[in-house]
Amino acid sequence: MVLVYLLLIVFGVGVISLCSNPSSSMPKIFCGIGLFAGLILLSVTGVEVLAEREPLQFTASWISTWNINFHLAMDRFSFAMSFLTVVMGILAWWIAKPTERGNTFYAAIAWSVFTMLGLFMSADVFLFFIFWELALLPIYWLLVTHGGKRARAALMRFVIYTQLSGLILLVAIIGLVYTNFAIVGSLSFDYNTLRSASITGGMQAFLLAAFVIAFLIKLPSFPFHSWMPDLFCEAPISAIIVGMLVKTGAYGLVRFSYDMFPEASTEYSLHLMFLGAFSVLYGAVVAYRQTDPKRMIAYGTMSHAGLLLVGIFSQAGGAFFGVFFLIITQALSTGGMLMVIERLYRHNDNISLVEGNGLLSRGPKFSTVLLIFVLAGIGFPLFGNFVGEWAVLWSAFVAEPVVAIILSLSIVIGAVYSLRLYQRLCLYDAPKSPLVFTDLTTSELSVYAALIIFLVATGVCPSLLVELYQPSSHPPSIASVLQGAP
Amino acid sequence: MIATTAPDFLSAQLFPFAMMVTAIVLFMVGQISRTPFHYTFALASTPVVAAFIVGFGDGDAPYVSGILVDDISRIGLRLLIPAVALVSLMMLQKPGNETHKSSALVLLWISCLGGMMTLVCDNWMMFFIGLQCLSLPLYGLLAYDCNNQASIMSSMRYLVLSFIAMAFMLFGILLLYAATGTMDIYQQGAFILGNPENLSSLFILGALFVLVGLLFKASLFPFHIWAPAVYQGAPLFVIGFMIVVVKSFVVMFLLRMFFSIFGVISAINSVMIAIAIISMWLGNGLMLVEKRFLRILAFISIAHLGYLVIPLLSQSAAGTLALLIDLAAFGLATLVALSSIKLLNKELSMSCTIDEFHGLFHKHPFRAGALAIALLSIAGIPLTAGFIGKYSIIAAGIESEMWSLVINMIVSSVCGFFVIARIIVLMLEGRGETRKSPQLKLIHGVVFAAALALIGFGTIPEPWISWTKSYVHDGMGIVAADLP
Repeated sequence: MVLVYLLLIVFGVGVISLCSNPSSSMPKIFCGIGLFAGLILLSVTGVEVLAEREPLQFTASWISTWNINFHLAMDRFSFAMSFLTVVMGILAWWIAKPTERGNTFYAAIAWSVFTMLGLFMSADVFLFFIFWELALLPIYWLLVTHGGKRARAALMRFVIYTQLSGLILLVAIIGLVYTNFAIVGSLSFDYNTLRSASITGGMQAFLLAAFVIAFLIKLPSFPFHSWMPDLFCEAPISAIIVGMLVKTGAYGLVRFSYDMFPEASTEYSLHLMFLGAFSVLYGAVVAYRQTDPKRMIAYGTMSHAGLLLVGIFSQAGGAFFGVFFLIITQALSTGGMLMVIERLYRHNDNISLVEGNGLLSRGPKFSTVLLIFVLAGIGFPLFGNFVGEWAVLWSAFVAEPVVAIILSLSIVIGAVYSLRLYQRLCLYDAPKSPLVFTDLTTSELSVYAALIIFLVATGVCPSLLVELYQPSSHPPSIASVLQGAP
Repeated sequence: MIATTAPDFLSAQLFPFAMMVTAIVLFMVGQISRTPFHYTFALASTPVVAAFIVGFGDGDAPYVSGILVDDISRIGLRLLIPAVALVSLMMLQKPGNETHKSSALVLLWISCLGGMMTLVCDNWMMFFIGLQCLSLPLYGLLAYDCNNQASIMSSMRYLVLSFIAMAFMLFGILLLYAATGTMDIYQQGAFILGNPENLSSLFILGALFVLVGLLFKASLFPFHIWAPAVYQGAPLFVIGFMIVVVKSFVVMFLLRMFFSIFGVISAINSVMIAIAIISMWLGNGLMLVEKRFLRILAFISIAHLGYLVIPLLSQSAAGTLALLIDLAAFGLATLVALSSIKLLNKELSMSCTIDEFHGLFHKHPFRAGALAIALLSIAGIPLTAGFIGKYSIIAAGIESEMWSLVINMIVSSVCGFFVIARIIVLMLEGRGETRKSPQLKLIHGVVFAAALALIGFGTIPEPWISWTKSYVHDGMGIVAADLP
């Protein structure tokens, strides 16, 4: 029941924000109250989830003609993703400074957190689909009402890609449900029931392909990535929200690959690993050529998402562990980078990376924080990202050495573009630079420091997060990871 | 064989007809005797409401010659009388003199009476009379704005093309009679179902000609060209009536046809698949270049009928359920969209181009909101009734393994969604416009309630689905064994 309360709180807060006076600070206050209340409630459930062996559940009958239930479940993986979502929502809430109509802005933030929470908690595939589609609506709304100059073009491209992804997912879900119906004889939309259905080879391959394509569009992986850079540039701070949206693609891949379709996943794992590796390489190379910081980070995110793809589909034991670590730490480090760079975008339209901007002398705190986040994003050994990347590399090497070689190359290129970002923004004296810029305030510095401390802590002491990590069928101990168990 | 007892005037099957005729007569009498319009309308609406409540009666009733009531007729009546009521309400809100409005109301109700006849006919002559009764008033209704040349032109267009289609249909009916020797629809079906070698080329030709007439009325490819041209000039309530009521009657008749006569001819099956795919792509594709909203609505309707071919061809209980659910959802959404356009008519010109939608959301948040909800329901966003409809069609298609149709439906609806998203984005854009103060009337309340119902039925569809399901059961086709 507490899961329902969590959803209701965040949804209700969105409604209240929408109805409050746009010119006052009430929307921001209400949204903040809701998100923090959600965080506290989530922490309380988290304690319970970690203690129990069984996931926390809530079921209510919804459409009984088709045996669809409003079934929420929170196991450890869902809890980690939900917690991450609320934290990212709070970061977005904190950094945001909407110039007008704050009520729609904060309502949209609250509602996107709401829909993503619902997505991570749903244990009924119909409900999962509903939240999948709903998760897009607040982003559409944000882009229209508060987007940048070319928001409409970016939005239309985003709409086409995501609607196609949603419809492919719908066909995949209906195919899965009716295949199960043909085998078992009763209609069921429940995730656990469908997981235990034994589906034959050809149908399994088809369903896996449909699910994977739908999630690859959202991830975004190489062929379907062109919606992302424009969206990153035109979305108001909600680039952070978009970062979370990307994680829904990864979540879907985790839930609907090996658990549902073991044989087909094993058969196609090599293909998907190569696709992931190519995606990492492509994203890194294209990112290097960018001259706008946000676009560079966008391609960087696509590159990191490719790493997730490799990790999910390589079968060595450390893989899921690596994916889990990467999801959390990448979200925080990329989010941190975006938040820091947001300072520049607040007062400037055109930030070029062609020549140096020399911000180090004008803003030493800014440059330091940016450097730390850049290093974290590269996968520098002190940070949690390194643990995740290492685990993924290890399992990729165990599965197929060529993939690991491509990945290592890409990680080097990743270092190149990320450091170039820092170099062009902060180094190289540019006394005549037209950028309007003030250094970080103490409050901002403290929030960034908290993020950095978390990243360093997970990097130095990974077992902090190991307790959390447990997707359905993989053991949590780090010892088994180090043994490289397949 | 056929019972020849004289029909009991109060028997359940004839009750709705009697009520509609009474309503029309009462209304005309009221107008002639110059009683105030509101009293006449209230008095004349009572039989209509009674017709809705009583319906065709449940359970087995004695067979009355010429009328065969089954569950599709029952639910058809229950769905379409409220639609006609909403359309009447829309029409009554138009400014204009009352004689004009009352004539239009009589025409609307005669049309509805004709439609009801098509729901229960078992004889081709009955069907033809019903179809004409359904169509002829439309020529007059389309020319309602008689001072507007566009309105008269759309009426003339529809008249000419409709007469040609009717000629095809009449010829097809006569060919079917020549092939089978009976005018009874179900006996013709039994004629073929009983002995398949009776399937002569005369019969196939007749069936194809009848199909041509029906496809015209339903505006499917290749008989779809009239729809954008006619809807562009027509008054809004007539567009609503044509898209929702007329097409629904035709689709329900098509459903019976596919269960009996058309279902046995495999050539028609393949032809319909091709027609459906082309209609889906035409409807969704031509929307992309279109700037006028009413034409976009016409293309949406063409594409939607392409989607509806999927449950028509599936010939299963799930298919019938999907058809009825989707018809109801689409009908409600279209009526809400058209009513909101009507409420916004001070902002929009007669030609109603998309660019005029700019910033509507800030000037009239509730009316634009109702329009947005209706458009989202038509697009099939989850948590709207339209999604439940789309979902049930896709589920029926996958269950019957009609993969090509389902995949085409999915990909083409992305194009459709793109256009709808563009409209909604245009409505949301624009910042800081002043809000006009609303004056609430009955029609406002009805429209907002209907828009909320779209979301309500999308969020909690169970009552609606189980109510529809009670009218659907396996083996819905009329087979030889069912005949008395």
